[in-house]
Amino acid sequence: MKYSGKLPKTNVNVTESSQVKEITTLLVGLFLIIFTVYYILGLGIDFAVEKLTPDQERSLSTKIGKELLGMPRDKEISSFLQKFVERIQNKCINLPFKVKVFAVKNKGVNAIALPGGTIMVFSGLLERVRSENELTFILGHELGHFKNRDHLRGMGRAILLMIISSMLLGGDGGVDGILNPFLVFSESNHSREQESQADANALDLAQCYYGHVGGATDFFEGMLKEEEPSVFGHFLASHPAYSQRIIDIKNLINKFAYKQKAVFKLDKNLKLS
Amino acid sequence: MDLYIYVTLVVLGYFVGKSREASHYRSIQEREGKFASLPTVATKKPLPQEGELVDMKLVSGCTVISIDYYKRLIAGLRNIFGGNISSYETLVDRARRESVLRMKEQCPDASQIINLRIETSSVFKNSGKGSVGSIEVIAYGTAVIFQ
Repeated sequence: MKYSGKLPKTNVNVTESSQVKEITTLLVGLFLIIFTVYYILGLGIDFAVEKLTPDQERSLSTKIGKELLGMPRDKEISSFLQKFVERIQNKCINLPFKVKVFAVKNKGVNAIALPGGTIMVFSGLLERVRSENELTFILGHELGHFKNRDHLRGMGRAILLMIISSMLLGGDGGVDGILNPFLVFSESNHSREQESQADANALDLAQCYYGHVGGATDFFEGMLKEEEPSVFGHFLASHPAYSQRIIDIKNLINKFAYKQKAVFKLDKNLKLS
Repeated sequence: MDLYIYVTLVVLGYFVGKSREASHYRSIQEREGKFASLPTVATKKPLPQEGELVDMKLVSGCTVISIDYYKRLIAGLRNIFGGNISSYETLVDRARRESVLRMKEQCPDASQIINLRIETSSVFKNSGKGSVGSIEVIAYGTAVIFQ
């Protein structure tokens, strides 16, 4: 036998296929599956949230909100805010529990509604508030979340999101890198709707408390001057852009023909800036 | 922000990886043509050949090739759905052929290479946890030289 050194004409060890087509099919399939699972389980959470009693809510909050509840608080401002919210709650909003308010020493411009009827207001936000009406609108916004039970929906969905992204996609070679931002986008889109609804609740509440809605957009206008993320950067934000919120609130004011009168000055206890 | 960086790396992996792969295949084919007449077999005894056996020695060739973000993404998706990981096939194919070529280049005067063995291992095993994995292929055999 003589050795013949011929090279094979084709490479049988490599599949001839379009990789772009392959990756597109796989990604579309994955998105469809994940969003179907997320949507169905999300509906399940919405259903379960309606059935939860205030007691169950409270026990959930102590388990989950530990870190937030453990942040350093400002006692004086907390007790002032507590009285203020009690006045609002008694006069204008019917909730199955008494809301607790804490002022938290934190530079973040934020207020959070936690399950169990707790509102955390960050000192960074209080520093930027210039009138009592602004504060009422912010607290009204959080009370609106309680009314719509968004705090529970939000938490349920956040947990769901975590479970899907870590269990289904964890450690599989970078798929989570491309998928996570889109899951977060879907989540933040959902929460943006909730935020707009809470803004509408806050407006109703301000109208009920003061008889007018003066100063409703002041806080957002102040924030707009300070920082407006680019359209690109806003893609994944959980709240609507400030400019959009201002437009929405003004539309609602026109729709319900709410009056706007002079705002009340902020109590001197609250003047942080 | 993470998404933009990740997508950039994937796109970079696709274009740069593709062009490097194409140039590597060109080089492999050219060199394989050069060594086409060198018998390379897995048998333990040399093929019958005229002339006296004057020398024999161990030859080996080793290659390490890295995956890119694009290949890793496809493989990650395949981990979920199952199926042929075509993005890794070219990687293994290139590493194997390159190793055999390097082994042959170690002894250009060889009449035959017998007892060829090919082994593989992954250098970064935890490719899923942030780092990019790579494959090592080592080919070794005995070069025999007839007068």
